[in-house]
Amino acid sequence: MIDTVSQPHDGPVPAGYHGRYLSVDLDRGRGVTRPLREDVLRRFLGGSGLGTWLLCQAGHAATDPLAPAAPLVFALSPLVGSPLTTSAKFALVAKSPLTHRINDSLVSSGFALAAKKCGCDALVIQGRAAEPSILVIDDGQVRLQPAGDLWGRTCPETEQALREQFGPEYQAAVIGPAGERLVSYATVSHAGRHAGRGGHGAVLGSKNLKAVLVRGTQRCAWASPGELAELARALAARSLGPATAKYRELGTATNLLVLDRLHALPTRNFQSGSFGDVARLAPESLDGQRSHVRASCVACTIGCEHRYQLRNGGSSAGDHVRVEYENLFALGALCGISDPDTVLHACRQCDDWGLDTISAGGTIAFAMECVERGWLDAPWLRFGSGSALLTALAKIVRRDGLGDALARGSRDLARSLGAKALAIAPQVKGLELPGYEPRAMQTLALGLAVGTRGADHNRSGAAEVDFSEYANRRGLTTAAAARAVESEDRSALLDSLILCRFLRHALDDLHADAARMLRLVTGWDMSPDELRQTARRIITLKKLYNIRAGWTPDEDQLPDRFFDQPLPDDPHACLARDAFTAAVRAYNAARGWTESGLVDPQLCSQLGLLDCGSQ
Amino acid sequence: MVIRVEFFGIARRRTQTATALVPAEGPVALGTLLSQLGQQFPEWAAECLDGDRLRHGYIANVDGRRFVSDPHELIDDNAALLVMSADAGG
Ligand code: SF4
Repeated sequence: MIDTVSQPHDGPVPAGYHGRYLSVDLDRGRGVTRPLREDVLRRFLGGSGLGTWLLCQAGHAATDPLAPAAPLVFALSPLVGSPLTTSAKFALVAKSPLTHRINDSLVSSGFALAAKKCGCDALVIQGRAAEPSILVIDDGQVRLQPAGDLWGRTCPETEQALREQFGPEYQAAVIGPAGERLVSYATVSHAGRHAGRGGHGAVLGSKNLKAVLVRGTQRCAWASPGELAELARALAARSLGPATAKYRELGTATNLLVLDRLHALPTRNFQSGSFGDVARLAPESLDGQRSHVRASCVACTIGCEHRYQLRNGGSSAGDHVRVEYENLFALGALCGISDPDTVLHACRQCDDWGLDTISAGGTIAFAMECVERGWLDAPWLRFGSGSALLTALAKIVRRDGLGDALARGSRDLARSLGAKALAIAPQVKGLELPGYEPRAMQTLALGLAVGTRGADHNRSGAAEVDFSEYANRRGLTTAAAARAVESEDRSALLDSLILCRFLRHALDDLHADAARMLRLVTGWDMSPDELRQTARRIITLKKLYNIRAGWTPDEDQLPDRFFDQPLPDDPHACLARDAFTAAVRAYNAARGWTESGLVDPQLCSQLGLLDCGSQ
Repeated sequence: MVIRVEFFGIARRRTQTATALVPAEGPVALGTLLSQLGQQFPEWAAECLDGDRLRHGYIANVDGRRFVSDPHELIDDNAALLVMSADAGG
């Protein structure tokens, strides 16, 4: 048992919150329940926002992300447990071992609901258990127990074993072998979903924790339960409308054919924007060839998850693998592989072992190009070779031979090969690029470059600017910067409420709708403008964290490959370095930062960031 | 001349076709073209069209180059019109 003490809370606690967080120090075997003031909750909401604030309070930004002192934050939100669709989510926030910058990832499902019933709005873990362990939080009581033979097991095996041992009331966030072996892009997994990007799995593994298990009975009250139930019904109905049909019927994988048609599908480590064999991987063809089941996160009416049967498997749900656009792009087109069985098998391996598919595929594809250019001596690692892909994944998770270098990501591998390799390593700040060719989607290119967690399409959201008439996706201008800021702000709000981003087109006006939700949940009378300011505050706080962690302006940059050379299969897709540099400056100006991206104290004061730690 | 319409995602599912060829003599307004397609594919129109515009969440693109939504926008009679979800995120 871990001794847990409670610090007194003498201020008001808004509805929707418990008004406290649990801080666990594994080194000292101590837990403390600390109060969360209402003004902090109102300024940062929950999820990414609250998690970032707690990260700044809990530790020094310069600490090594895998050191015992490095904090790992699990942050819930006011909407968790409410009847609002897609709200059963939590955020993990920590310093990334891949980027050494802030990393916030979201995961869905029952863990969020069970964790909130523990009576806390967040959990902060520091220290390192003396042996591989499981951290159990049972209605506020905390204990550590040996992981025993769970160490070494895959993510689904671990969750299954914990369910059998503890029963269905407990929900687990677990790591697979990749997290145990500190692969820099290991995930934390729950119910088949992953906090995928940036290596939270390695952070949990570095604390010798195989799993965090939660159960509780404490519920929050809602400020206006009747009206909230009415709103939830209306929102659920809207979530079943045309704006989300894509997710329900086809899933994100349907992006493959569209992006390929627009020469925006990164292929063979970004050497081209279209992949001749793409149709073989698209859900439009997979559907007719193999059994297909749909699933959904807990408390979601959309249900975007599509699972396709692995060949030579039986017919049980276990023989189906979750298919997402990013998985198919990274383990398929990016590595030049079109055989659906190989790609589905690789997706399954990543899910089981707890590997981020984008970083795994990106790093392997980069190594394949280095082999092709004669910079890396691994003749077996060739574009288009399915067996090479599967072998490389196995080597990464075992950290065997070249796998050990691949386990540290493309930037690290490129640094060992020299400047020429850095020019083609597909990463920003160390985080591998998602499945959008920057030359063909230039507002997103800007969003990827300036993003605080590196090349990330979920925090930026600028893909939708490129998919609109408001921007020329192949001709970046400074005017696009303001739109990149807006889309990033919308994402920060969704990630802090927390609501699924796939719900956003079912909302009429995100800020007005979010203000109403928060009023019914918490009782706060918030205006849309207050929420706009909240989003700006959260993004600036992430930036401040990065500055304290050693960020320099030259990090807001794309690899050289993307500049001043047109995409080979689309001569109109050429990203001019001058235009890009001007757009970064315009972005910084639109955020109120200095030209080079620093944050002055006056802005901190305006945004209410003066109490956000200085370390 | 012919305008080649390419459907993606839900639009392809509702029309049950990847492409449709629309004869045209000279440029056609986007709204007119969409209405014409709506008559040919009523199931698609019911879900994806609002009068002569694509519903919120859907968008059209001309020749893979520029995105369009104004129904008065003229589409050349040898163009390719791509109809897709406006939501590119994955
Ligand atoms: S839309 Fe998809 S990702 Fe979002 S909550 Fe629902 S099932 Fe989960």
